[in-house]
Amino acid sequence: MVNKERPVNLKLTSIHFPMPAITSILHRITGVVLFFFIPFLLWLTWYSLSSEQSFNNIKTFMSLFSFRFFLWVFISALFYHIVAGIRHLFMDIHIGETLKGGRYSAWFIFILSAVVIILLGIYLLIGFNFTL
Amino acid sequence: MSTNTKGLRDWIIQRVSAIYLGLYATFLFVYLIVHPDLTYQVWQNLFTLFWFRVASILLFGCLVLHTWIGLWTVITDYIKLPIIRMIVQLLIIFSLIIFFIWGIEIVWGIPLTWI
Repeated sequence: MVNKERPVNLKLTSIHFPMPAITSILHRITGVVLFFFIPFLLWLTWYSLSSEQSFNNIKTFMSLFSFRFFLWVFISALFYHIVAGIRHLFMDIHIGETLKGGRYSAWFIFILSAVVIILLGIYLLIGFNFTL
Repeated sequence: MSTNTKGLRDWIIQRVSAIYLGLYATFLFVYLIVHPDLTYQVWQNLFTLFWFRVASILLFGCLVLHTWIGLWTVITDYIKLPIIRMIVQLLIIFSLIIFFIWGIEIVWGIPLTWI
């Protein structure tokens, strides 16, 4: 006989990772992404300091979409990684380490980062100037 | 004893280096914001200052340690095959040593001012 009490239908849309798990995996992903950015940033630092000509070249790069996109990805990853890192530091000193606190702070850093990343994208990718 | 304290040591290094990296990044961010029309002379002058040179070399040290502990944790979790894990770890160590030397080379290449 078939057990009629068994769950018959899995509602796939109701199954998802809890927010703290998502922010945690994003912290790891952004960390790995930042590692790959290290050589580019070292090169940029070296190039900006090597001569006045190369320094001015970087200012010209700033008008290129590809360079702005590169900066956007880097700053977004760095911002998220720092904010998620600060959340962990707070938890280390026993602030917000309950299940409820962890969920709230996970949502908080997720929304904060999303807003900052979108605004930065509007500024860097579309070229909208926020200064009045 | 040493195997017991390794985790704690890594834990502390990860957090202390994180705070330093965050402070350095914040400093550079604020520096670039307050210098919207930055010139080569002003930018280069920053790197001639002794304290900034020390701060930058300290940054490279923190970056290497922080990256190593972070990537070690991620690799240990996801790469199960020991030989592959070892190869990836060696590649990371090799890259980090190159980045560290490169970073010091960049900072060292600029004349020093004792201010």
